[in-house]
Amino acid sequence: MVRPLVQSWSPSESEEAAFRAGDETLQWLCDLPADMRRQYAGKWIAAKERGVIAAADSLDALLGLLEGSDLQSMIIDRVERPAWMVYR
Amino acid sequence: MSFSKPWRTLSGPDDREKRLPILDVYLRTAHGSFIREVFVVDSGADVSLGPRRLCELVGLRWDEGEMIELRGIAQRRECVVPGAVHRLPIYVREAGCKLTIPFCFAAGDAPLLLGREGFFDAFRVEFDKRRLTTTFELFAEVGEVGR
Repeated sequence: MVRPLVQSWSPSESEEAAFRAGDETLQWLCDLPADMRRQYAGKWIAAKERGVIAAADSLDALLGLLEGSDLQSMIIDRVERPAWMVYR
Repeated sequence: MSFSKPWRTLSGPDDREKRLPILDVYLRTAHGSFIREVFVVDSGADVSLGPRRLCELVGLRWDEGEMIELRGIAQRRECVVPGAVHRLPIYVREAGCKLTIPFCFAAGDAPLLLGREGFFDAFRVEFDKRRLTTTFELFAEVGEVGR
């Protein structure tokens, strides 16, 4: 395969503001409380403002739930089931 | 240019905590806006991976990719999953770069992984399990297209 193409990228001011607004939510996702990890195990979730706003069994189903929403304002995540994972 | 990211906490067997190296990456959707997704940084994966639905979200046609068979530790025929490899632009905010990498969209559901091909050509990745951080150093030249 060919090596990657790397290009400079600067988000617009409004994009940067939206990204910054999500930083706290990302940190919250990284340290998701145990009860929420259990609740959403195996699910795709959309998170915003330190909360889960939608959850589904697949990305397809999640995007269906989010139809018409501003995807840029949220973080999409997949919460693994409680197991030792070897990705395949 | 280098930056570090904390690992995330998930549940392992018996509800014990396990930690995973992750990186949040931005993708541009077919509508032009960005979407932020959380990827596992997986040095054991040959290629980056996501579900087929993601392919449509970013405006690519799945069947126009290079069709491959995804195989893992289970070598049985019934465990083979079809996938389509496209060149996908991903945006790494901390590095201020857009990186175009080979990316496999697997049929059905799949985890979000950043694998070696492409991503590890652009970034030197250092996992620090004791500190639970990953350091990413962009060592590809901006504007570089290799080989």
